[in-house]
Amino acid sequence: MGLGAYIAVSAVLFAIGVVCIVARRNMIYVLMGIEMILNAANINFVAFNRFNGDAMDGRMFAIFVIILAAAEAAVALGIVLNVYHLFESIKPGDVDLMRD
Amino acid sequence: MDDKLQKPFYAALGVITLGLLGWGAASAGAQGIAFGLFTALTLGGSLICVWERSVVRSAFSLMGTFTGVAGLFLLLGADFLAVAQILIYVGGILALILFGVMLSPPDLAERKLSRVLGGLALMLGAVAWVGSKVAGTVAWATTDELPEPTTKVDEIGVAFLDPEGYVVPFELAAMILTVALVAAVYIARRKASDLTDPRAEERA
Amino acid sequence: MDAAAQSYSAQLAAIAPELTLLGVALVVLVADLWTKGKDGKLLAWLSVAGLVLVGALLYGQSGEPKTVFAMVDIDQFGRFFKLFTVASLVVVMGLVVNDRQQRLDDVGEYFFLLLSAGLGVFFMVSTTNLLLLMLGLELLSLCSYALAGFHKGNMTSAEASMKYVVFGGLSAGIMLYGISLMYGLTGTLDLVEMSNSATLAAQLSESPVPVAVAIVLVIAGFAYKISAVPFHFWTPDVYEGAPTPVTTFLAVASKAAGFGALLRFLGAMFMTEGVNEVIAEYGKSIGALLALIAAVTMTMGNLSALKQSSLKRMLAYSSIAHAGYVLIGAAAMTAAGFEAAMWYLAAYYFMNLGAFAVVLYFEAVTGSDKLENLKGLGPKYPMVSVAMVALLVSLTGLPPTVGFYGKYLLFVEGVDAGLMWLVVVAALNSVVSLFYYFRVAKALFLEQGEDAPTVLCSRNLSTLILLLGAGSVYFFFAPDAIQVWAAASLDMLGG
Repeated sequence: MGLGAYIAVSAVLFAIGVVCIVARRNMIYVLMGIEMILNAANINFVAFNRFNGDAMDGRMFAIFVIILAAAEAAVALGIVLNVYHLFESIKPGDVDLMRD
Repeated sequence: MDDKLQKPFYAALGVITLGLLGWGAASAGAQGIAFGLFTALTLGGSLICVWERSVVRSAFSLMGTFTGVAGLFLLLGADFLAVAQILIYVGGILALILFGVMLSPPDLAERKLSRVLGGLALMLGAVAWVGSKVAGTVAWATTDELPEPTTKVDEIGVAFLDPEGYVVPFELAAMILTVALVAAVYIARRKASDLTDPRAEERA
Repeated sequence: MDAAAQSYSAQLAAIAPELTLLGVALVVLVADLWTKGKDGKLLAWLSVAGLVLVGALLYGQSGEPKTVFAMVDIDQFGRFFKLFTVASLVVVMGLVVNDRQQRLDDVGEYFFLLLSAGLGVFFMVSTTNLLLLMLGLELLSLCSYALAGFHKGNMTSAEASMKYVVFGGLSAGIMLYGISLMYGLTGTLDLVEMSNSATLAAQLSESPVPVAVAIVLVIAGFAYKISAVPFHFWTPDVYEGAPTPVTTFLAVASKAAGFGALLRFLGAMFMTEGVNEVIAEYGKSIGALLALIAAVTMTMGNLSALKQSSLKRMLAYSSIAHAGYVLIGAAAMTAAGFEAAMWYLAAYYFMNLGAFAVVLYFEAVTGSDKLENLKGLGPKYPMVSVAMVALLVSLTGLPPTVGFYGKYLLFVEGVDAGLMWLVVVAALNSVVSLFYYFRVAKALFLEQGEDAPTVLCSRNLSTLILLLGAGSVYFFFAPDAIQVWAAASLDMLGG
């Protein structure tokens, strides 16, 4: 398979991730969408790395992205838990006290 | 009306999967079939995730995405990453998300089909448009002949601790994980005293 | 510059400030466990002492720019932003201790997260490697998410942290995707190597669209950190909901760090010595994009600030507007423009730290951040109120304050770079901003409020406010002190 095919997959995954964040009204979907975007970036990193002579850069970056994703998911879930305790909802629409 | 679309949606996914498999087989044989399969898993999983009304189904379909991406990593010769992807994403992050799922009571009215379909049309259209602009002219930095992929677990380990390599990012990542632990535990932990609002006077 | 010639210990010595900050953060974390979270004052003193030590190490650091550990650039540019961060963290710690809404037990995490956020800043402003930049940025972001929600029992605080994490996660993802495309186009993660990449230059002459897509995605990540339009949506809610010291940190240190990383990104990519001509030329288009963002950002910020009833929220919009002003310097894409941007950030340090400290002060007095509660408080708290007026004059950009001089520099460099239209927009914006800043001064001195008893407030806090107010006037008369420093800091461009 050529490089273009991988980049196409990653671009479509990126797009679906953005839709998942914007179109659904639930914090869990936002988190899942973010994970999709990070996965899309990772496909890019590994594919470019492979077709660029198989040095290390892209692959190392991908490992760090996985680490970041795990860290971010943990903190985000903690925050969601806290919001749930206070608001008894995790829909962004319900968690909206502050306005202009 | 929503339920009427359920069958056509999955039928379309099936057709796309078959198309991907066929296209893969025609263009690159066995490897192409594997590529088609993993792509179908990746994109199908994420499409079902945005489509499904139930958060539980969405979360489980995301497992398809993560596994598919791991498969793509394998095809790209990054076996360590593929394993890490399965362990961390499927085993860790997805489990975390499932905990979150328990917080959201079923809400079948949450999904607005028009928003999902409109969003998909808009974003996929945008990607296709940019792709068509870019496809003919883009020149990625590539080498002409592809080297055989090699197992690099040992090299990755050495690079992590090499002063000329990735020692600073490695240590910084350690700090990031520490901070994530402290932050997540602090925010999620409840003691009686935490539940009093320090700004209670303000609201009274 | 020759990394191979440096011994391991010499490289470690070069990043001594970073290591010390890391050590201080961990010591604070352990000390918190040791004292069972009972002694917040001790932790505050530990943190401040550690920060002073880091500041001293940074102050003593000078000499030739060098790269250690293959990707950490130790130079004057990074030093400027690191000292800036240390100085703002010290003030923020002072605010934490004086925050009446903050219990002082069980706050070990507060200090630990602030110090760790500082560590993230240290790395993100001192590298041209996109991996390290991203990791530093994420460390800063993760700490900020948790800090924004630090008042666990408070609903607005929880809401602030949730909004911050949503927008932060999205923009970090977008930025990462952009970085992956840049990596694909050049085959490297280092900005300086990118700046003379032959494949990138060939791509630009063939078709700039792929490069534009990648760079715009990366700039989106920066725009989020500096809260520029259209990535500013989180700003008012997060600033209003977060504990006031955290708001101060986000508005000053985190924003300056975003600018530091953005300036380094632009500088390394388009302006270093030996940059490929085609790429340098393309930098002009990126400058035009930034100019557009700057115009929209300052206009949006100022117009929205006009109708706010909460002082904190008003300052949030005002800080969006100020990001727009600083962007003029970045959009100029000249060394002098960057210098002006850095000067303005130094001015921003005094006026925004000061203004948010005043918010904290009056929160303690009136129990809320509503503007109407400030009515008639001027004569009762004369020192703080007079300092606030000086800060407001500075925020508006009138003499004799740093705000005026900073804007003057930015406008001059903007005109020099051919951005006359942008400077006109900025000048009009300053006039608009006069209206809402004046409302605060009017409430303090010209309006009658209810007769509430005078509340005694921390003397330390008012001293801090006075110092910041005095600083915002003093450096108007001694602008060279900052200017020399900012000029020396541009060594990242080489030569």
